Amino acid sequence: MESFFWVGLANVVDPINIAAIFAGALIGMFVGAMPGLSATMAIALLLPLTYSFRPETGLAMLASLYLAAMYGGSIAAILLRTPGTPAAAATVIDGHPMARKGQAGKALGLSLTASLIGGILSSIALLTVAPLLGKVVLNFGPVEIFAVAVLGITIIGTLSQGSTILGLFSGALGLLLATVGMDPTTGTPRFTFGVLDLFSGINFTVALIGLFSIPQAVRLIVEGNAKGEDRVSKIRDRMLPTGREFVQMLPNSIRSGVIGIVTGLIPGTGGDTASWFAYNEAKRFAKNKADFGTGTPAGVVAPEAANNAVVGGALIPTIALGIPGSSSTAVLLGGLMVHGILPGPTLMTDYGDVTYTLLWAVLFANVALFVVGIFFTRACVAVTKIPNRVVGPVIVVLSVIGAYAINNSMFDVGLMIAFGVLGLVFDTFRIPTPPLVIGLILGPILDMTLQQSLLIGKGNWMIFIENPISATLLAIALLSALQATPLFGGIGRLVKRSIGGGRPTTGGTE
Amino acid sequence: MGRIIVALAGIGLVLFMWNEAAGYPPTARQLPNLLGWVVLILAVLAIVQQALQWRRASADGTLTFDGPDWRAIGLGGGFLALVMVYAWSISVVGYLIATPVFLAVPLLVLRPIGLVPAVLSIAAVTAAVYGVFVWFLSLNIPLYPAF
Repeated sequence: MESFFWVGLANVVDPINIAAIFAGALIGMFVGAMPGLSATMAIALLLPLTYSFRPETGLAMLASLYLAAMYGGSIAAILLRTPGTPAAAATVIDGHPMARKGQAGKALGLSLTASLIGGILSSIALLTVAPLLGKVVLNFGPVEIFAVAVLGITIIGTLSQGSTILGLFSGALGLLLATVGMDPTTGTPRFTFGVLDLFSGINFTVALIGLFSIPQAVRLIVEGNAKGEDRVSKIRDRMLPTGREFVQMLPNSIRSGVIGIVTGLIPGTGGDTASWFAYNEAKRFAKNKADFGTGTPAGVVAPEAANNAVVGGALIPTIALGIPGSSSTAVLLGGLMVHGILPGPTLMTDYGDVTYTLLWAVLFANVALFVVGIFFTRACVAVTKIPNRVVGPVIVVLSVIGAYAINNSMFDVGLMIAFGVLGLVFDTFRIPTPPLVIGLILGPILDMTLQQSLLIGKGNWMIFIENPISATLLAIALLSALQATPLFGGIGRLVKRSIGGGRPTTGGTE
Repeated sequence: MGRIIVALAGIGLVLFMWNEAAGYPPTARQLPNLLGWVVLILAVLAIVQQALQWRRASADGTLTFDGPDWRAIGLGGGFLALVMVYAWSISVVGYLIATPVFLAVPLLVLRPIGLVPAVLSIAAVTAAVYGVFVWFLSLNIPLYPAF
């Protein structure tokens, strides 16, 4: 593994890969700056572009795009009071008031610098923790990997926004749809109805382009632009913080960066959770709490350091376990899959050169983003002015051509639109989509490892209980699923009553 | 109500997949059958959860059903239909005709920008996507009418 570490570094400094990282940073920043376009959608749309590249070049570009879209989201948040990405929602609170005071450049500069600090911290965590975890996972066999996959989908389902039952339902539906295609053991075509395009299963990339792009395009068309937008159209002041300002923001950036890394590690949580968490912590640690919400720099630094630090944190389980912790990392994993690299413990061994290139690329992408941000943030102001109803149809064109590019197949375009309609229905009724995507990724792993485990156990399901690691992981999965049921609610109330002695509690929240 | 419809559709899908899987070898139908049970149970729980929410809201006197937003449904449905026609038309009239026409329809109907910026945007997007996918990536997409 150590040799891969240096191979990865040597790969990433290849001029083509450096160029790909800079290109990814530039594209990601512009896409992220458009209100309503998420980092996930940016990666999904750009995924087909990377097919013709070498895997390490394509992945370096996608990783850079992911990071840059996170920063790009803050541009719209600060200038338009509309977060470009959900992860930039907390930045609006202090970023926009700063812009209204004529400090738009300063707010964007703080955001960029905080993103760099958070991003570098998370890259270091990724480069150190992911290989260590990867070494542990190398000892895992199919029984343990099956349990990891079950735990992954259960946690993502239960931690999804909204109802836990619907989160789990979405994940289970994704797993069920992933069974379409040839059975890995017997070679029996399942649910293919004689359609040859379905024999290799539902193409994951096609599904995710549809799930993330079409609902967004329809929403942009339906909602249009809000009337009377509170817009700041120009950046007149200096962007880069002074040395003194940099020193002042350092503790807040480091604390928020650590929050971002830890939040990213937890499957099902993402940049939005991390940025709110970091914002609240920054407020708690601040001397002048009343300044928050009026345009204080600390209110910009905290969410921006956290949401960029999430990238490295979320990539740790994705790389080490092959279990994506969020929809964005699921799409990145899709990037590996289109190059024939399958998720799982082999990522660190058989494909170690590509995987370590990706890990190094995240570190280099942070620096590239800083450089690109200094030179092109002012140009991004123009992008924020493009009306939503112009952006919507463009997303559709990119989605249709991108889906076609995967296999040169019109069937894939139809499948992409079908998943787009499914995503729209899920969005409309507030059923979480990320568990469905992760179910589609984990389905083949679950299928393969279940059959291998049952072969090892001679058809006995007790093999999952007899193995201590798998038994522990499955028990955690069961507990996390059960906590969503009324049974746990009832137990919780009983415990509270016994502790409180039946005293009535005072209402209100902090 | 929408969640109940989705849950019922999920149950329908499971029943259909079980029926299809009945003819597969036992190993091949093992996981779909197992996952089918999980989806079925969760779909029923989702329906029960929604019904309990309605009951609670009804008891509190806060139960209201918002009528559908017909304008949004019409706009969204119309755009989705346009997307389907666009995808189909590429193989008939080719990318170079289908794409500008598809981009022009919402810009003409909804008028988010003026005529000149609209024409420039359509030309720029069509050319950029052509440049990246056809010229740079050598994508083999139908460019001209098939007739």
